[in-house]
Amino acid sequence: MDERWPILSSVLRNQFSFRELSLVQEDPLLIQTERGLKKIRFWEDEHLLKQHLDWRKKLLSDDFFLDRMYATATGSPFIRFDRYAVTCHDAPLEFAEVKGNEQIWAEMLAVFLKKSRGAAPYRQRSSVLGQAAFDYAQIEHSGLSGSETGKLVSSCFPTVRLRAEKADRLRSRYYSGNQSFILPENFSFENNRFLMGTLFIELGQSKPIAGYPELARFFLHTALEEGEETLTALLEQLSAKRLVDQETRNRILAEWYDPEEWFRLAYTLNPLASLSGPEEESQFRQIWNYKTRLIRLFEARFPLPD
Amino acid sequence: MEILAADEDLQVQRLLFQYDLYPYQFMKQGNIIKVETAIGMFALKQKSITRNEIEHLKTAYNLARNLAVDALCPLPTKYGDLVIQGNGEIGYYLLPWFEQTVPESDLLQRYARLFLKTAQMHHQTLDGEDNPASLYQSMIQLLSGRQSVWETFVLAAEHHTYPSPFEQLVLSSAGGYLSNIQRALSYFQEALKVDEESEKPKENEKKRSLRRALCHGRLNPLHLVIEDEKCFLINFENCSFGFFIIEAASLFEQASTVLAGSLVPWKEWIRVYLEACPLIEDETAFLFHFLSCSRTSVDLLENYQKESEKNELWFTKRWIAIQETQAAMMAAFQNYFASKEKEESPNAEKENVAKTES
Repeated sequence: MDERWPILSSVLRNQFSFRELSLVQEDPLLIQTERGLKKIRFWEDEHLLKQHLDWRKKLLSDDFFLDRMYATATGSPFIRFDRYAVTCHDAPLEFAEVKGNEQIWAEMLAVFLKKSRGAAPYRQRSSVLGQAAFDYAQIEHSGLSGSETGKLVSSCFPTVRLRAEKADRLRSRYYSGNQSFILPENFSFENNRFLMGTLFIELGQSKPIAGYPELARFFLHTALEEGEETLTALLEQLSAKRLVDQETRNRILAEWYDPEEWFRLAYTLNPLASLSGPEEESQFRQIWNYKTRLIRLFEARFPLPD
Repeated sequence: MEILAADEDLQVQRLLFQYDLYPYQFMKQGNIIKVETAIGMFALKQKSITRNEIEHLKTAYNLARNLAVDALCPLPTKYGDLVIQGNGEIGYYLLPWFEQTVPESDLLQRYARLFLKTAQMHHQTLDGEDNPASLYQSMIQLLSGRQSVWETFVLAAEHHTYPSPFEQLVLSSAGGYLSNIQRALSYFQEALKVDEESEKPKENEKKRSLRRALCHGRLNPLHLVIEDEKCFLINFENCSFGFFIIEAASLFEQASTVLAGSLVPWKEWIRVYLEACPLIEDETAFLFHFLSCSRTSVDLLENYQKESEKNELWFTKRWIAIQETQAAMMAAFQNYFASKEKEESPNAEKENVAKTES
């Protein structure tokens, strides 16, 4: 970047009509201009860029901002530089809390659930139940269940079996479909920012995948970081929008039934694992308990249709 | 001027963020918001607009950028959108701010500018000729409809033992109007016959053609922004390419209806339009037939028939005003073409003499 920066900065200045421009950060590339902080993205795959342009167009809403591509002086949404298509985006900094803004978040989630639809690449998933049974058998055979953590892993196994079975069953109906809820692979709801009293969504630049795991993770994260009350308020607002269909409901629940935290804990029993047992144990207990409550909370807000 | 409520204020700021504009003041003025920023003043306009209409806007503004049309272009957002569209069909767009120097009530001045801007737009966007058969077909249907309204009205009035003052007025001018319709119908029918009978018309039978150009679609004296000498057409969301003579004729018809009863400078307006956008023979004929069978009179007849409690005085006055304005407009057209012919005939004579001599 060092050698090419003078040329790139001059191209950016001309094409996006910036009078002042200075480098703030190299990766991701952030620039300060007289019109605020901007993020510069480099796209190797122009097909993906086109896909992202259409995606943003579909998601346009009065309720939130999106990290849309700036138009150049000639009206193009990107400039060519080297072997890349280069795009320029807003880069607000204020962190977007859910607490106190549940309605705004629910509006955004509703728009995404309704409009961010497409074909998610097919992903072969192995049976969670099979994997759990295999891991448990390994632990038992290798005598790793004697420690405190081992005892915890063993005692949880009957529930793990039930949860894994449920996760497999909920997922089994939705292996394909071209109208799935999609999100970019590297998307994280925590990357969203707050701007002028609403959300600024950073859609990023990675390829689309099924968005249910990220949505489930975000709900769990909100409960853990901002409290159960905040999540309850958010789910209530979302429930009022009536946009959570059966597939969304089942696939979110499947993510929580999936005993991922148990797999992590079981992994710490491996003498070669670098994870610390006690720390993992406390995290396991926290996530395990939250997930149990979350499932109850979610099922109550989004019951199965009669 | 109106100060905005807090949520409206936030909404305006969010809209302006899409232009990277940070206002230090904004005020509501009717359906527009006047925005003052460090880099100048702007007008933010809210409007119900469809995606199709946005496409039409793009057509017009591309032509405006090429200086073919004096149109006031919305400024694109930093994402390149001409119109900000969110939920539903409400759209927003930003224009440079102009202090209007001609009030909306000054229709005479506004029409004068409108005729000039319309003629320039039509002439500078001319896009070849086309066969007007389907237009003529529609004209035949339209005129037959008007003829039937007139005949029904006349028949009913004639059967009244004591026709009302309005009916008497109408009966006195029915002959002239019906013969205008008949003449126009014959013209369009004849033109269609020539078109249908042979691909190659006979020597003295010319195949009809009309020229296409950009038509605004909603011409109106209020769809103009005038600041001193600067004048721009606005609201292009219904524009399309078509036979521009329909739009020109409709504009003259509209002006004669809106300004009925006023002293209208027809001579000047006709000169302005026709000098900026000279017509070919078929267009002149179309314009003449279209205007001689004006819709305004027919509308008034229909309204009179619909009204249960008729205000005779109002209808009578309105009829007289319409007839006078219409007659003045048609006389101005006739004078314009007669004087044009006169201007051209000495040259034609000279040419003929030269031809004979050679």
